[in-house]
Amino acid sequence: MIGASHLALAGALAACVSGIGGFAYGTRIGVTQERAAQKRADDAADAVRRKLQGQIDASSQRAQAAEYARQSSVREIYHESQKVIERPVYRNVCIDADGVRLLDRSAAIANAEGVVQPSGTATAPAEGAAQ
Amino acid sequence: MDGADAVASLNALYDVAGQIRAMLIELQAQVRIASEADHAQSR
Repeated sequence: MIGASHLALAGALAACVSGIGGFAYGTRIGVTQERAAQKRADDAADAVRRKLQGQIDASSQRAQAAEYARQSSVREIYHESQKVIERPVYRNVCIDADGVRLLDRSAAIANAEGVVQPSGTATAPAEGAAQ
Repeated sequence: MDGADAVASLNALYDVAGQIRAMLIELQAQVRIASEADHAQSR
């Protein structure tokens, strides 16, 4: 005999099952939506990162081109200076031997290379050009 | 050391200074690009 209590119990059971099913369905939908939102955010961040990396790469290429041009200029100056420094003025006028000795001694002291030979007193101009 | 050595030394010094300056400018440009993108994203 199926009574009213059995019908009520069956109804309550059906309500519980449908509630659990609804909860599971809602959870799955929520997880899907959350994953979709996360994927959209990741894609947007990735697009920004790729664009930024492209700009930085372009900037690096421009800088490398500028550096290449600068090195060419430096080489040009080096070759020109090799010709210019052959002039006697670069060996006679700049500084005499006593001054060079003093400068070398100062550099040695500055580099903590110990005491080198004292330069003595320069009483007269040096006889020759600095070597 | 004579004038020729001084010229060579100064040339080398200017070369290194130029390298440092170029690298500084490039790094500043990259930082500017990154910070502009950061500001645009936060807006």
